Amino acid sequence: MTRFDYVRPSTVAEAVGLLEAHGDDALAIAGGTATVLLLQKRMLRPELVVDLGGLPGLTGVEQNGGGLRIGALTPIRAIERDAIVRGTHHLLAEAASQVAGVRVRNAATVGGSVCFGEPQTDLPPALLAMNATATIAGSQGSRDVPLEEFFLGPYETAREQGEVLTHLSVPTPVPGSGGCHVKFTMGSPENKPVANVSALVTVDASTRALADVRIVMGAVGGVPMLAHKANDTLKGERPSDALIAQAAVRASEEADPVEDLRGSVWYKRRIIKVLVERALRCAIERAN
Amino acid sequence: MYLADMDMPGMAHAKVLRSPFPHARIVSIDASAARALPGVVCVLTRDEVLADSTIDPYYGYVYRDVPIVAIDKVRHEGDIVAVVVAEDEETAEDALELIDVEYDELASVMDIDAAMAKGAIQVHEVFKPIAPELRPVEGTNICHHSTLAKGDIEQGFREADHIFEDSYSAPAVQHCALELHGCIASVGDDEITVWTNCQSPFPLRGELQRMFNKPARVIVPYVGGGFGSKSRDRLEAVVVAAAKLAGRPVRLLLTQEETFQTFIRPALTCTVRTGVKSDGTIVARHHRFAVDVGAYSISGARSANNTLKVATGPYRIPHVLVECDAVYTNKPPSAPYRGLPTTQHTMAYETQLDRIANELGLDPIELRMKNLLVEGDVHVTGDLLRSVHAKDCLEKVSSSLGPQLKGEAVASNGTIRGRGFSCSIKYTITPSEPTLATEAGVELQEDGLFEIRIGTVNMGQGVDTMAAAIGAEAVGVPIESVRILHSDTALVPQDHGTTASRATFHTGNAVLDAGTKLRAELLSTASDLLEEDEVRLELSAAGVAVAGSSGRSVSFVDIARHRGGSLLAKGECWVGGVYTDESGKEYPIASTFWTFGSVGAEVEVSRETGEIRVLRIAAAANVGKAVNPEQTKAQLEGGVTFDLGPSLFERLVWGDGGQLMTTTLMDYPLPTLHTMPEFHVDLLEFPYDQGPYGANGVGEMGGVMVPAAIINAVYDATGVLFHEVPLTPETVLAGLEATGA
Amino acid sequence: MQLELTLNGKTERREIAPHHTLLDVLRDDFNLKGTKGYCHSGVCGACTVLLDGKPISACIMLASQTQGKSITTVEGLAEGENLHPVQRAFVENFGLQCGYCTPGMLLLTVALLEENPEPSKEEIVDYLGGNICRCTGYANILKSVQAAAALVKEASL
Repeated sequence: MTRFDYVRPSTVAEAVGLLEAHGDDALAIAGGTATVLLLQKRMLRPELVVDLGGLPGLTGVEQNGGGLRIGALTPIRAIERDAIVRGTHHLLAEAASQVAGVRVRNAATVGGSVCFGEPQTDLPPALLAMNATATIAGSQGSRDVPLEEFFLGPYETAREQGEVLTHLSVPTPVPGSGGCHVKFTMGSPENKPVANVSALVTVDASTRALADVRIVMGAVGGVPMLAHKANDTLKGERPSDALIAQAAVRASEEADPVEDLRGSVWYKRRIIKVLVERALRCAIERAN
Repeated sequence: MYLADMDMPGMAHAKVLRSPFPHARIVSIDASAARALPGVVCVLTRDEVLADSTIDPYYGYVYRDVPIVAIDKVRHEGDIVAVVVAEDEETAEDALELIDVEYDELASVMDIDAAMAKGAIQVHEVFKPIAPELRPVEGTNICHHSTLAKGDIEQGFREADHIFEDSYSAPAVQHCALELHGCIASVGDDEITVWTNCQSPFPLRGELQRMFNKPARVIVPYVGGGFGSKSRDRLEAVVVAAAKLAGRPVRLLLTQEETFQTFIRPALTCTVRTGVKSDGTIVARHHRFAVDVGAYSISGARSANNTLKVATGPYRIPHVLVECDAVYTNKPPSAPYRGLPTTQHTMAYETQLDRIANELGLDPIELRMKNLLVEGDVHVTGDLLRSVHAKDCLEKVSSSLGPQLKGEAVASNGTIRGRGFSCSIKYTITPSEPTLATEAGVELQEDGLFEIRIGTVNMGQGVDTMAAAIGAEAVGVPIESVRILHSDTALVPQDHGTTASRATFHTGNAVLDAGTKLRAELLSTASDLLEEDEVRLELSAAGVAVAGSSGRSVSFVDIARHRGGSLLAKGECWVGGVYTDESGKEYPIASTFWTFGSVGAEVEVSRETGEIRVLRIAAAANVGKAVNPEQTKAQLEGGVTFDLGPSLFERLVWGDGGQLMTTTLMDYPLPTLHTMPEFHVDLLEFPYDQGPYGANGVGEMGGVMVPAAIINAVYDATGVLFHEVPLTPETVLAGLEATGA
Repeated sequence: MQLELTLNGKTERREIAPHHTLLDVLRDDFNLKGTKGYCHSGVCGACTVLLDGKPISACIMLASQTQGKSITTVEGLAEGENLHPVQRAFVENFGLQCGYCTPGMLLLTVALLEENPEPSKEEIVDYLGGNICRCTGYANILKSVQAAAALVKEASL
């Protein structure tokens, strides 16, 4: 275990001040499920750990204008079980329910999951599919970053060292929308995915065409990726088996996987194709 | 209480510096900065070990090839280079970073083929065999080559109508016993005391005494699972040397990552060539296999050698040749692993049998029935088989599961089902000469209760319940009247180790012998005290009473008092030698007992992803007598789920530089509740004449047939016969696509 | 640093090293050896404890993070000699062999039944699915959880 000092600030301003003052020597933790592991293995060696877990007002889900405002410290398990999320943001609840196991979901937070920037996890693709925005507090005030611009690379995000993610705003899908999150793991579903896919579609009530499609692929690139070509293939079209299959192939070509212990590039593309088909079918059915 | 829960007064804590390279010469080690760190007690390197003339720096029961710490070179990533002893674990960990080691990297051999290639670099330049049966091939990495033959193999193939040849491979995996390996050692002027979670305390004691030239006492607390990884240990001599240098008790607990660098199940490759008649009668079998024993042959060569006797399976084959190579590589040392390598042999011969059935147009179950061994057959080893009932086992699993399905589609998404079967035979480790393998004691104590003393290690497999049940039954008292004392070499009689399914048979027989003798003593004492003939006496929980309504009795407390406070009887279990049948004919005993069984698997295969779901597993074994049926069933179920991992997804992977990539459970998935199939377990009780109350060993039987049954079930479902494990989704999908299935 | 928390129902204070995990502090500072460690990466579940009633992995949480909170370990289940109904169910149904995973399995079961007193087989598998047992093959663990649900229900009547 790395030796470090520990502080538990009681306001966001205090946390920001500490992180800014200590720069790269400080490490912010929320639930700690990912970071404490790395501290134990001495892969992270901060001098100071800033535990954000005591910050007030950053836990819970509330309705806010056209969507939800989700506090960064809300445990993933709370998202999964929250009645409001399950109602209007079902895709998010579904993705939350697939993160690791129940023990991890009780401790890990939404903000931590997003800020850790790990490519093989389930919430970021769902948040990106739902077009969420991150609000980040710094010494100069708060800024909003759309999730599309938030993930920069593996374990690298738009959050600067002296900043704290305070909450995520997730718009409520328009009527006629349906979402679905699917993943594929080797062994048990608690394991890290070979790949995962979040899809959010909107079906036009009169034409039955797909008014909007946001397919996001996870674990097959350094960041969760919008499958632009697949989305464009489907937008404005009435879904058919052939069209879904075509979009799935496009998505698998767009994916940028690397070979690792979970599979070869060939296999991951095959899995993406299967997952995109499954997610689309399910999302379209739910939209109807 | 497990080892990690124990504390000793004055105990210091050790951490190990491990090699980052799979193969390198050590140029220099500078530990001065580590020694200077406040809180550090001492640092053990090759210099300290070599400077102590009372220590033999090498140990090993089979080859004396393991140095306490690396002396000339490191032979696998994670090999032990130095040990830091400090006031606490964290300080020791800090000090590891201050040790400066200069390595001269050498080429490495990371698999069997590379190690057996002509001109391959040698992992050990000098062989140091101890066990007499070992046959190293000088100038190579083959530390043991052996064969077993019966009949005339060439003649056998000439008699065959068809010849089938297949090659198979199975990678290294790890046992993942949840209780981590650890050891506490204390070295006094007159004695070494070691607390360790090792499965074989008595052999360990002998080796420590030899190396350190001092009497040793080995105490094994309750063990949190072993599965073979704790059967021969790597750590005790290291910790004893560290404790000797430190001059105080020292504890070393490994991390999960370190266990992956300490003991693994070795990789295995084999080629099976089988000659059959058109009606399916097997006439010849040539089975060649190579086992990757890793950097040190702590047990690998002997395990490999032992399985010569089961490599051709539970079949009656007139012409047999089995060839075995045990090969050093730059991987971590191999350890036994719940049935290894019987599991891999079974996978090979049983999946080939399904190919034979398919190509000859025979039913796989009928093909097996035609060739399975029966009572009275002589095995390839020359043993006369008495309690077999292999056909009954196969019939049982076949009726539990139903016949094969041949690619039954179950859903529109291309999911298909199939069923597969396998049979096996398992031996137990058996010396060739008559040997007193296990002793036990049963003592009436002054409180009127009975203490059973055994050297067998309790690691959750139910040995206490087994010994208590047999001991109580033999004495004739309720099970509540007995208690168990186990695994302290100073307090209990010797045992060769808790391995190879041997506890029920060996310990059970020794306890039965002791209990029977004690019962005789009790009756004779009571007979004196009550002045009654022994035949009129009865035992109960309280003591010995005269039969009938006289009410005359003597309590166990009084019997104990009369005999000076306690009354001890010792029991023995002898193994090896020859078996003489009723006609006086003698047969060798290559295994004290043979266990037969069958497994059937029903699987669902996804054509989209290649994923296999194991839906149902039927298992049946001839257990002789189930001393505790619920626990015996649980042993079989546990064994099945255990081997689902290596069948479906477990494998250790080393990168190009010889570094282990699968270091944590995040990269090395294990079976969970999600993996668990529906079980149909049947215990067949055909008594074995030599076993306690007819019982056999069965601890490894559940798992050994699982990979074969799953491969056969996938063959049934898809028509594709795989020759390897694990059947990861990617392997299966690639296999389906390659064959257009 | 000074840690104050409710441990198995009692308020406790200890001076602890701020960088130590909850697992280490429970075992070494509070001498509660029932909580076990194996993978130290939050996967195996041997170190499962309840934090404010919810199961978490003690190996990947700093003890400092539990300031002011309530922790239940396996030592907090039995009342004196009386086993908790979940413990009884595991003993009666052979839900353990070597026992190393058992504390985690017990606490997870307690939490599951608190959330969902009548779980289906699928719900049990989903909730306990992450905790690893190497001995039993899981069939008797499943049986134990189902029996525990019945016992807990009986006890609450």
